[in-house]
Amino acid sequence: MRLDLSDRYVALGLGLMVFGAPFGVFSYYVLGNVTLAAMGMACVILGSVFLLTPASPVPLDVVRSMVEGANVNIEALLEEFDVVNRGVYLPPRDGRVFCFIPVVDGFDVGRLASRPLRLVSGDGLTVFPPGSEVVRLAGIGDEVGLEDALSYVLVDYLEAAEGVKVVESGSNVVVQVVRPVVDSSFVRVQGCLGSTVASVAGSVFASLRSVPVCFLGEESVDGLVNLRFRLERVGQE
Amino acid sequence: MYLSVQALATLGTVVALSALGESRLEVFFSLFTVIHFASSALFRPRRRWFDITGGVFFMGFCYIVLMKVIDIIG
Repeated sequence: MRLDLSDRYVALGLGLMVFGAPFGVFSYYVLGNVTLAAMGMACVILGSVFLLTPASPVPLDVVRSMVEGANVNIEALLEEFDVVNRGVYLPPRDGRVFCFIPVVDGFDVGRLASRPLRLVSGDGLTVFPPGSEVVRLAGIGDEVGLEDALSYVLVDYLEAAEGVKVVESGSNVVVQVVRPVVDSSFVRVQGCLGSTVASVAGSVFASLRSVPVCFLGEESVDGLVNLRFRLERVGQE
Repeated sequence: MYLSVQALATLGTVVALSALGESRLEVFFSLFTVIHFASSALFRPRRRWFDITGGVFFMGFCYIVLMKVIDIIG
């Protein structure tokens, strides 16, 4: 946590704490006055609250709009190359998850993670989904379970959904997202990468497990979004 | 809004309890705890870091309760 002293909340918070602590201690132990001691305690409490509260938090709607707006370029790219196949989320390179969308069938998923990164190749497109930046900025640890990590990113960090459940069965993973609040109106992006929450989920799984994650599809029913993924077990080369 | 409400509620608590002649510091602390968690639940403010204030309040409240329980048992 870095504190900028030019921030009015930081300056006020520090001032309140610096004043309140000795004032409260002096009032209680020297003056024996509980009221003044309580005032000193209140100053310390309010000072700490001021320190922890940012003066200009980025509105959540702005963050969500930026995440959804990132889909515009991807939609244009997918439309230009007329790509309709489901994408594969690949483990991060330089901290960023990327997604390979094949234009031909029968590609070897196992070799995708090690192939050179080329945005346009003969067998597919490589894009950086919105979820890749979210995963990078959220800073999830390596030892976290899939459900815990996805719940943290979608519910706590982005506040993009009210709840998340993840069920693993072998290499298949089913995710149920409760009432997502971000969505994408871009048809090709939804078809190839999935909705915004699907993109975040695929990016989280690829980042955590360091294996290619195939997006299989999603269905929306009564405020619940069910996502299906397959984790590709890549053998050692 | 969150800061204003919490500041006004805290100040009002100090004034009210002093007017009632309250001399126990743990009563003030307990009410400050309630104010902090209630305002945090209502406004869900964004924070730079973990809610350290809430953590200190929780530990302090547990300590007060523990002392009271020991008094009752003793």
